[in-house]
Amino acid sequence: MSGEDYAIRLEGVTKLFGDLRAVDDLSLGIRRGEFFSLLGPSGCGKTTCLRMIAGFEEPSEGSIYLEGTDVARLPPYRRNVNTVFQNYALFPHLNVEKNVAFGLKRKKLPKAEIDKRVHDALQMVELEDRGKNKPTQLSGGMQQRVALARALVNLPAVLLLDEPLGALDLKLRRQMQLELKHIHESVGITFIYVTHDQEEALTMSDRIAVMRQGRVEQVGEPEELYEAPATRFVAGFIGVSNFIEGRVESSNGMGTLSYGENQRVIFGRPQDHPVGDIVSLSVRPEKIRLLELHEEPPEENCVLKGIVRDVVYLGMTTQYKIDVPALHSQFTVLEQNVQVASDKTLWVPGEETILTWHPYHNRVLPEQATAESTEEVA
Amino acid sequence: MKRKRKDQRTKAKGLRAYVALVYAFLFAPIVVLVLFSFNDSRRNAAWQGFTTRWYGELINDGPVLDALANTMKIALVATVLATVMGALAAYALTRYRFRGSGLYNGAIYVPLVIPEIVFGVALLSGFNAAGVSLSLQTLIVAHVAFMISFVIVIVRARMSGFDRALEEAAMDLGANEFQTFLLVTLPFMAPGIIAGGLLAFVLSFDDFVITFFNSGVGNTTLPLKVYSMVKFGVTPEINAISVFMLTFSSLLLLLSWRIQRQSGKPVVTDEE
Repeated sequence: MSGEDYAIRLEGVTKLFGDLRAVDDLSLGIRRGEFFSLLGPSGCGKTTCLRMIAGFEEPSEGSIYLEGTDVARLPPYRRNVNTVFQNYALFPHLNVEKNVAFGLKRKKLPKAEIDKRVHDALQMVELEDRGKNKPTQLSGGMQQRVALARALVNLPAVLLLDEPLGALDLKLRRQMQLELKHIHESVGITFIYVTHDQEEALTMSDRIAVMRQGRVEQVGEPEELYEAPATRFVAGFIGVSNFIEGRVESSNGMGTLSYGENQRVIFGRPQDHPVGDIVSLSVRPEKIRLLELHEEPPEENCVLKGIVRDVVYLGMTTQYKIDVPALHSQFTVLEQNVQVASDKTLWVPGEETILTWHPYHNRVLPEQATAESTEEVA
Repeated sequence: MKRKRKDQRTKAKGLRAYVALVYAFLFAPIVVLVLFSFNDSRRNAAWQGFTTRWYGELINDGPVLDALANTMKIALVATVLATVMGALAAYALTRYRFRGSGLYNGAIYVPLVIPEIVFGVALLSGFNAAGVSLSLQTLIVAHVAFMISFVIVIVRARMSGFDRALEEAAMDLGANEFQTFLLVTLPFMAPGIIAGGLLAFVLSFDDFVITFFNSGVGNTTLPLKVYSMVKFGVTPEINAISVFMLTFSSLLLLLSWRIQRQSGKPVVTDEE
């Protein structure tokens, strides 16, 4: 774990605003060339984190290493990082070219080189013919691209992006996501991307840090976060999860929670949870299959009875809300619409059904003192 | 239906007449003043024919020109001082929260609403208490004192629309604090500073009361000169001076207003 492997390394970083711990003893390493996202709900400290890396805030405690050097106390203009701001922050009195040239001029590069690099940067974002325009004469998406060019033209060690697509409409967002990803691959600069949009983070990132209340809940690749959430918060924040809590009853190599007459939830790793322990599990909606009452689920599967409450047809999939009396809770189940004409098509509200899934899909979550609702679909 | 429309029409007519009267009341004296500055007669009594003689006499009137020179000197120096100080103060007031900044922000309005005569007397007694004899310099100080509030109010209004992220962006791109101020903040403030400066200049240019109390001997400004001339009767030459002052002030105010109005829209201060 030598510091040189990382473009940015935070070590025990804390930021206090008065009594508020915006960032709380945070340690994090971001690898060179990586597209790294800080993901979390508003107020989780992700933007404060970014601002400390940029130099707009000074950490109350801790160190920030940029390519091995502690920059935590340096002013922004002494750090080899550049920022794409949420509202672009383009200089209104300068035209597009001069906005992009601003950083290079501060470095006192020869004019010919500045001109060339500005031109190349504008070409990269496909705005080479807009150089003489004022920022206000451009659309939101174009302004966004100017902001990107203005930052990238300096070839920083790390590019910081603070919810840069937040102000764009959905279609433009999607398009810019792909463009950003493409640009990241072609320039090979480390990107640190702040967003509250889990879908955006999953689409674009190599790795994601899920943050909450100033701390990192989990760091991992998108698939890892989705398939193996480490905490209840991550399970609820990334995608949708169904939560199961219960007392471990039998332990024949696997842990089992049973709910009488053929209802059971089976999960792995019983050694951590001896009989009598309370355990908390999560399972993703698309892993669950719905069966008719007369159908027989596989022996090794988890089985729960449910009553269909809500049916939302989404084209490719159908989303069901299903009451599970055994757990006194409601499950979300997602089914692919793969029926043929002769099949039973959709479940209807009020119908009784059997929910079943393979134990492999259960994630054992660490117990949390506060059982708050984390059902969130961004 | 029809009757109602007719009623409205008569109402509109009545309103229009009323507005015309108000404007006549406001502008008739000024129109008369301007007209009689071209009157071919020593007295401001009856129209005798058109002449530009009085403007010619004005140009050759030594004491009037001296007064004009004084006025310009004071206005220019005081404007530069008040604009620089006012702009920096406005920057500090909008940009930083400090102990008592709320009080300062409110206190700015005091010089705007305090009766001018009180302000004039206060300055005079201030100079006396400090043992400073009245001169062109004290007059400049006095003018700066009342102009600065106007500059602060106008520049502060401009600064309230300033996005701090612009300064962060500049520093992010390698500009230090001073470069950031010079290259990003100042250009943004510029329309407010210019507008505030122009207004301050006009206020200094036609100020009478404060100047009257603080001018001392031999520092007659144009408004003071007009006042002393009027004591010997209103001549067409005074009309001519007035027309000159009126035109000059109006143009500056118009310019100030236009710059302020434009600054609501995207600013254009780029060299192009």
